[in-house]
Amino acid sequence: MERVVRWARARSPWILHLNTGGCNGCDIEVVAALTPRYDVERFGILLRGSPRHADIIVVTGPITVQMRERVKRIYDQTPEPKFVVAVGQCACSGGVFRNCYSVIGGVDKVMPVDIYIPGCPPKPEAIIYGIAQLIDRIAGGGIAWIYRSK
Amino acid sequence: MDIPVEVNILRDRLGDRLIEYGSIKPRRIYARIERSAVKDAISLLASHGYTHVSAITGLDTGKGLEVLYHLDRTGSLFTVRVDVPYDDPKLPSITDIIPGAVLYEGEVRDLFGVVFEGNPYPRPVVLPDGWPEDFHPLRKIYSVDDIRKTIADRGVGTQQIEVEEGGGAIYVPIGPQHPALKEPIGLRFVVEGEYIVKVKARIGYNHRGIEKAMENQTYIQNLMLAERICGICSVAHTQCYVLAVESALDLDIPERARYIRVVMNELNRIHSHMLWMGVAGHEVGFDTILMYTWRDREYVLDLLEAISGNRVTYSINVIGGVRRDIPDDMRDSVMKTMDYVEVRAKLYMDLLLRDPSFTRRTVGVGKASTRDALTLCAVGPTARAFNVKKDIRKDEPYEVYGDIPFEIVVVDNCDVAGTFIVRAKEILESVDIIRYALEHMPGGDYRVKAPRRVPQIEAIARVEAPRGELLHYLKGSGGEQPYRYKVRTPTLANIPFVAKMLEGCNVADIPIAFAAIDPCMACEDRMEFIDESKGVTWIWSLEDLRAYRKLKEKGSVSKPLEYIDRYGGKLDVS
Amino acid sequence: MSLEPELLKHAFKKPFTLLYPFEKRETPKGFRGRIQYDMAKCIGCGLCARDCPSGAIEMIGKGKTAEFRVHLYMCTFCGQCVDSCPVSAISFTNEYEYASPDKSKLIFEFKRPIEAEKS
Repeated sequence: MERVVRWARARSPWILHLNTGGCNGCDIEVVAALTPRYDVERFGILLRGSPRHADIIVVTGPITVQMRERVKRIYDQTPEPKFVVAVGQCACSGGVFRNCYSVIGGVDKVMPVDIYIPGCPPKPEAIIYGIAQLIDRIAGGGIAWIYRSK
Repeated sequence: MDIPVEVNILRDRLGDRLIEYGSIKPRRIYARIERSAVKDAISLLASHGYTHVSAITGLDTGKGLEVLYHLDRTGSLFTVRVDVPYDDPKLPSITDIIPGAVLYEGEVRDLFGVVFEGNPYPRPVVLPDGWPEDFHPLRKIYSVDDIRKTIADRGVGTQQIEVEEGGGAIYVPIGPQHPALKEPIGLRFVVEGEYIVKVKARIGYNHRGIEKAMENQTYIQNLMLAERICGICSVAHTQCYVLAVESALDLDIPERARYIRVVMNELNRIHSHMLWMGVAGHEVGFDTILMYTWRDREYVLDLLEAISGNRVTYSINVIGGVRRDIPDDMRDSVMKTMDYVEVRAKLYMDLLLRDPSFTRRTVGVGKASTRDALTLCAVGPTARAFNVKKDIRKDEPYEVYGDIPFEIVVVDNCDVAGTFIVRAKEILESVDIIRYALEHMPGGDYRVKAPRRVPQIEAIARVEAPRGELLHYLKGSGGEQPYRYKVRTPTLANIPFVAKMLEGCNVADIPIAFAAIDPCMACEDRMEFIDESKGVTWIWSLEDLRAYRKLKEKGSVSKPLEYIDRYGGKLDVS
Repeated sequence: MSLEPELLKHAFKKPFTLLYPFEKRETPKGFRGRIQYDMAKCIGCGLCARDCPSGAIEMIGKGKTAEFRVHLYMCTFCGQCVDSCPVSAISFTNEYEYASPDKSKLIFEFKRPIEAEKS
């Protein structure tokens, strides 16, 4: 049963897109991944509005002082099992904003990150690649053949 | 030096209280006055056409604080400078003369501690919740480490407290984040039935502290930081930055570089407006338009990637020119794509203005008067939709905009549909500008070497970003790091105006009316509603608003309170 | 004119979707992918590390024996290092597919030619 559930979850992960104070560059690439050219809905990936429906939290932007508590709360509201993807150099490490006083750093200062996707911003293909890596891990490598590039 | 007319007028009225004046660059006049003369000076200038406050800059000179009011009159910037001592930093507020200055004063109050007596906005304006009142981060005595330590010690950002009008404090829980590209702003609405009576906006959720960081980094590093102030209009920020630095250095850059910069600016404008069209379509429930416009936008992004190496952050502007050239084969693909974009933009304009589901939700929504737009200092396509003829590309031409024939798009619809028309037509104008620029681009170099140090000189640069007038203020220190760098984004300028636009609106129209200014802040949404007549307060997210609108259209509910009764009023949104 | 003719037209056209990862677009010339160092040319001046806006380049040592670590999760892919290098020792690759659960796997080392190039 466990394997069926894991397979089903990996088949159609629902994503929550969270911007924690970035410039919106990565956001528009994440949203571009939903638009006709890349169309991640082919993989069953759907964008959801609420943390309670999400499997994967896709985070863009660095963690700012005022967003830290909110982000923690959203992470807590998301039901298990949950996975976190840090998109872009700001989410991975704080990036160019490292000298800004209101920026605490990357997402891993607040919650555990499963996949880091570097870039500024990463291309939608790179984002899909990163999410595919995550799905591979969720599915325990079972359906990895679909996502492995030629 | 010829004494400008305005200075003479000031001198006559103020006498000794006008301490000094000057004009180092064309279209830039400054006058230093005593602080008792602030209101007289501003009202005098306002009656002579300087009715638009572009920005108010705070400065810590080391000996005291200085406040600079930048007033604009169609392309000419008059800066009124006032010195204020550290121990008594009080100034009268000018919001009774020019209401649109309210947030600028609030920002200087937050960051420097200058008290503007009479400013109605509660603190903090740009700083996060819980920021200690006596701590002003941009003062020179604090280093970034000091500020970080203070934030951690005093628990800034851990409480979200809203103080009610009556004086009681309520603890507001956090709402969910937005599903699609949205910005965080806390909006508080006073409603009556289903109509909005008053709006108060709490901004500052995306405050990162970039201005302080810029004082500790070199000009070369700051260029890349400037680009990431906003990822959507990234090139506008770098354009403004290099204009400011090149102006301070008095650097002459090659003509070819100017033309390339114009092409990149306009390609950015096209992509930004197409992005907005998709977002606006999504807000009125027309997701098909989101998909179509973003699909067409991909062609523009391909061009940008081919020219600059990345779809979003181009790194094309450098101090001294541009980093890469636009070779001939690329020129041809740009021209081809422009033909396509022109056809599509005309199609969308035609389609949507005849489509009842779109017009019903945009025509007559978000109405305000031209006078409001002027007194609240609105900028950009938002202002131009309300019959305000302001566009920095024409008022104060930079790069080669002065040589390229194009029209400013102004309409008098005075509603959200007007903002749509303005942006769609601007795409067509941008296509023409790009075609002209590519056809007339001269040969030659596209870059000159620039020094790494900027002398102790001030420079103010303004560009027309896709969202409106963008202003950068630079004060050099003589070294490789700036003494002070200030950025005033166009969305900040439009917040007081959007609050006005929303008054009288239906609650269901909030998303589209707010999206009409093309907000660029970043974050989540949290909107608080107060129905004073019934004494009910509730919090909704954008998702709730969309659900409410759908049900309202079906006829299931007609007032927000009905929705709450039936579906549950939420104080804890999830 | 309404949306119907548009929709009908697209019903018969080839789908716009790029079937990534089965199909991949070629990156344009001048694409800004991950950077690489030609250590044979490098003179160890340190301008790349100094000018990097996010501090992603770590220089170990000085002069002709200097070696570098590029922290890809901090890199903005801006190309300032490529620009600043006086001997053009840094260039872009066209690789952009990087994702890892472990940040340490996103660090690229560039040592002097005696040892291995990339680790």
